Amino acid sequence: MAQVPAIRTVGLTKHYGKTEALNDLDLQVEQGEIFGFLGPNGAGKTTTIRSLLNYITPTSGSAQVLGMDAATQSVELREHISYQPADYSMYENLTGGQFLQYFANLRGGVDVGYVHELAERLGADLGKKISDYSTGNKQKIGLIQAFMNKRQLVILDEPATGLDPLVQQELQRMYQEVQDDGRTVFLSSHTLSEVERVADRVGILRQGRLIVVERVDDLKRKAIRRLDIEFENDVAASVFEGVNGVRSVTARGPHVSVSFDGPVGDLLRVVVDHDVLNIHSREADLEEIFLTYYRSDAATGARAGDVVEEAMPDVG
Amino acid sequence: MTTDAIVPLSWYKRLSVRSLLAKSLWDRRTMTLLIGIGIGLMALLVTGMFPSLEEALVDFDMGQGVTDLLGGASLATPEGWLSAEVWSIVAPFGIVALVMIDGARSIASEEEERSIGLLAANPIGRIRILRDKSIALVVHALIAASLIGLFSWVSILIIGLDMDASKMWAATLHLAMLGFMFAGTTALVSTIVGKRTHAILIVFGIAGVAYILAAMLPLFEGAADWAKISPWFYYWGDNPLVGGVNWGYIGIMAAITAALFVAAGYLFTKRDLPG
Repeated sequence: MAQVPAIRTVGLTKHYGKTEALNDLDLQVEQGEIFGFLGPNGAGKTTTIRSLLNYITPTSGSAQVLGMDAATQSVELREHISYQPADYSMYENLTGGQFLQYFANLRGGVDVGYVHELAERLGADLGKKISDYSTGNKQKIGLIQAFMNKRQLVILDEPATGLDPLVQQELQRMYQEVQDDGRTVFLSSHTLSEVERVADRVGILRQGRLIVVERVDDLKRKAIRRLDIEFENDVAASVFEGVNGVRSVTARGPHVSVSFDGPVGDLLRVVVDHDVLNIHSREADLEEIFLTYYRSDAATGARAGDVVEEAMPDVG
Repeated sequence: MTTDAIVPLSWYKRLSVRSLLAKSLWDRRTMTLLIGIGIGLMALLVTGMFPSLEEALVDFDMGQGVTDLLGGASLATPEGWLSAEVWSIVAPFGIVALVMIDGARSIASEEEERSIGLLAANPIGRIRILRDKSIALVVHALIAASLIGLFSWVSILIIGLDMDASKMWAATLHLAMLGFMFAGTTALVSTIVGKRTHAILIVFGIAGVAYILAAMLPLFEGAADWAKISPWFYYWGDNPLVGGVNWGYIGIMAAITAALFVAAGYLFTKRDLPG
């Protein structure tokens, strides 16, 4: 029998008055995945999560979590998920240990040894009062809370906030362990590098709309790459106009940066018509891909297949 | 799963995080005890002053309006004196302040500060969240009212005032019911506005206006019956220190309380939460 998806939304829509926080979201996340949910603040990521947890009632559409209806079976489904919100406060008068004990008790107990293991790995001091913690240390306690119960679906909203790079690396190992265990991580973030390293697939939200869901590798393959070229003499951006695959060009005297997708051959033929001193190819990272998807058409004038010239005035 | 403690905790700290209800009861314990014992000690002091002031108070004419406010008891009687000095203003406003601040911090603050996001992610429904917090609110009101009643009762016995000390428990019951009513009001307002300061101001406004209505309407000819629209009327309209428990009024206060909590629960399940 096929496994039910970890998350499935159909036409999920949430309006606040005239503001469209989320629009017609169709999303499916399979069990055992690490799914990156990307978008800048206000894109609708947290609204999606809040709908999955039944904190808010969608304007239309439906959501299922592990085969359970998010609206009508919310208490039951919460048995199987854990969650760390992006923006929350903790009970400042408790120590980290008391806080975790409270949340462990709300779920009927916890593997104490595993809590201590997580605390050690993240470098969290459970004996201090939460009011005395730094932002990063509060985040660590929140993360332990989300991981300690070993639920089927772990939903994390901006989990790396305030964490130093070493702790972020440890966190990535923790995602991997959840996946190795056959469980699912739904990782909402605008820290693209974090998602890029760990996610199997990513979904990118823009202004409440899901604009793409792809495997990270596929997304990179299709992505715009960049050539930084240093010519012997000044070269105008207009030289690259109409070249197959070129998306945008920035020229500053002899330094030219070209963004392109698809085969590089046509572009190289134009390049070698001039005297080239140096050429550097950069593989697109998710940041660039994300910005490509996210940048509004109005701001860039860019569409697939168009050539956009962002030529700078020649200097000297 | 184990039941071992994550960190070593004293028994009472361990108990305080045992469940949502336990934590809700533990929170605001200091304020509950301060209000209960503080007003109780004041009652002790006021009771002790009565024998030396009794004669002077015989000739003191307060006017019918104030006498009505004291449930018809003369200031020269222990019942009237204790009504004026403790039970008609200080004790009820103390209890209302307690449930107002307690409820707003327990329910609205959880939402305002977004700790509800973590709490509601656990397998507990919204109704249970509100239920446990409301139970704690009611228990706090009951503890504070009982402390005030206990101190007052002991004071009467120690000083030896010429009144039925058992009536103090009738007043305590009315006081607790008043607390429950405003606990329900606070729960309802907190679930609607979701902001602590707003909730406190609104409930304070409701309590103040209702008190003025109960105090002032009987002074106007033909308007006395309208005082029944105020919850304060059912608290002290028929001075329990004189007449004992008015079960009809207790029933009305219980019904209002239940209606307020039910409305709060309904709204809390229907509205969007942050987190």
